[in-house]
Amino acid sequence: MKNENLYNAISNISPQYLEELSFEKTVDEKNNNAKATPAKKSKLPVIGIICAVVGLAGITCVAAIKGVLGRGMNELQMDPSQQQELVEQSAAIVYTSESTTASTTANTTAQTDDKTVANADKITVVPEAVVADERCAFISFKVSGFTFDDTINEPFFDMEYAYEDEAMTKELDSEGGFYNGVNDIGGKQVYEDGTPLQYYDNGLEKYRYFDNEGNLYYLLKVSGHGVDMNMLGRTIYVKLVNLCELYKCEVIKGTNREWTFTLEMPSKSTSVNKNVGKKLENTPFTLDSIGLSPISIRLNYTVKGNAKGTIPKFIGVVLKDGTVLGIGDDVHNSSDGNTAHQNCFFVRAIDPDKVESILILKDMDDPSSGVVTIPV
Amino acid sequence: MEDKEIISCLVMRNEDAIREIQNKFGSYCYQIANNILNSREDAEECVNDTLNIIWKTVPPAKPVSLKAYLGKIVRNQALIKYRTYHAQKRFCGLELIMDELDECIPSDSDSTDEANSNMLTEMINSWLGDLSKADRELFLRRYYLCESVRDIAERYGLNQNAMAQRLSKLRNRLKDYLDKRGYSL
Repeated sequence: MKNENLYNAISNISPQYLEELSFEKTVDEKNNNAKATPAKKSKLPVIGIICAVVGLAGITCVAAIKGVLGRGMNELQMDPSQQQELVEQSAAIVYTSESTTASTTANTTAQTDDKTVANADKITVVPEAVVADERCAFISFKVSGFTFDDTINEPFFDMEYAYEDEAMTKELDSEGGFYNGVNDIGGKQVYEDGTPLQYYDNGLEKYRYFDNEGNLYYLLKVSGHGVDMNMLGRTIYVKLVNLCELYKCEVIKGTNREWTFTLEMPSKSTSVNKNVGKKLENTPFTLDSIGLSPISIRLNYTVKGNAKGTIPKFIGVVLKDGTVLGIGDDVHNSSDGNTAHQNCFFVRAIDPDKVESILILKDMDDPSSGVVTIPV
Repeated sequence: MEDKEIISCLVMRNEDAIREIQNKFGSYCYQIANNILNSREDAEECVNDTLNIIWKTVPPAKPVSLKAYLGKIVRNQALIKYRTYHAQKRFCGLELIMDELDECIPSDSDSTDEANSNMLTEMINSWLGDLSKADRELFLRRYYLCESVRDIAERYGLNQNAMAQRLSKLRNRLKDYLDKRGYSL
């Protein structure tokens, strides 16, 4: 079997890559118990670090968010007034049919069979809104006409792409997911109306993908490959491929369709630059300055000494009311030996004016390296 | 005990080596086997088989990396069990992994010789080297350690969809990489 050849080839990969992988020992093993037992996996390690170092001073709970940007942006947990403010500042756009170009293409090579969603041609995907800064953009889409049993299956786009050119050759980094009606606040999961999460008998979470009118919402995060690409004022091109039903991460039924969009990005930045000048003890890094916006942060370091191929990692913020938010998500890094830069995107939006300090893990590859609190 | 000392113990036929391997790498081997076979009993059997094999094969073999050597054996043992269970229609976690790996294979591929297999390993090593550390870790967690998408998603604090999509992109990138180099499996 060909896939077994690939499986066997992967079995022989270079040991150096395996050394990069951490695996946790169980208590039994640490006590030299001879019997091998499955390892426990740590969930949300960064939030764990934050709790240990700072202590969760408060957890903000949300009520139902009904802002101008639509349900697709609920994952970012911006309150309606912040959404309105971002639109007025031209840092967010609510799309209309005039402001975007969209087209749908059926995949003619695909066979229509029992794995094809019925009435696939009646399904519409419409861009709703975008929030962006220099470093990244969050774009929400509304999906109508796609129905399935969401107690069993999940919605999914087989692939999503974003490009900076119309010919769709220069790909941007992108990642998306359907909003499941659940927000994670300080490690606690609640529905968007603030009510506690419910579970099925088998312990799995009950998601609420659909709104009251049967629509779904998809949130796509887009950024450049490196740390220096500016998202503002651009036109970007997005392609969403094969909306489908997923069961345990396996595609059950697909639409065999592609949706493409031409989208304008906001023109104004809400990012605030601040000088910091703080050396991170026992590291070669000094944090010179940051750029902080509601959806991302940029950190600029000078490096004196051997950085050993690593860099500190932004993990969250402490608000002026004492609330600790572990919001650090994906990062893009660059380092030339003398300076280092990091762009980090948030898992939920913040109000930069309410931030008192930021939390930085000294070594992004070593969770035990210690977290530093830096006033900003 | 350092890995080199363990290997020396194996060469000297000192059974402490097996106890030390079990202590140091038991969980690692168990994780891989259990991820593939979805059965505690079968996974434990697989780990025991792996320990037997390393006892029989070292010496003459002198692995450069004990972790990689054990990983290769346990994956191979799990594959053998998978084939048996697959014939018996028993569900295995490996079925999904194999289906996903199918997507990485260029459509015109057909050969299966060993030289080709070595070349494929070299290409995968080279491709892995081009990936970011984060992407490399994702790929290896899924296709080397055979962790479930759900577990990997939880580890990184992402939802399953987002993780499945990241993995799907990585598979496509590997397929493109192999395609562009004219490689056939």
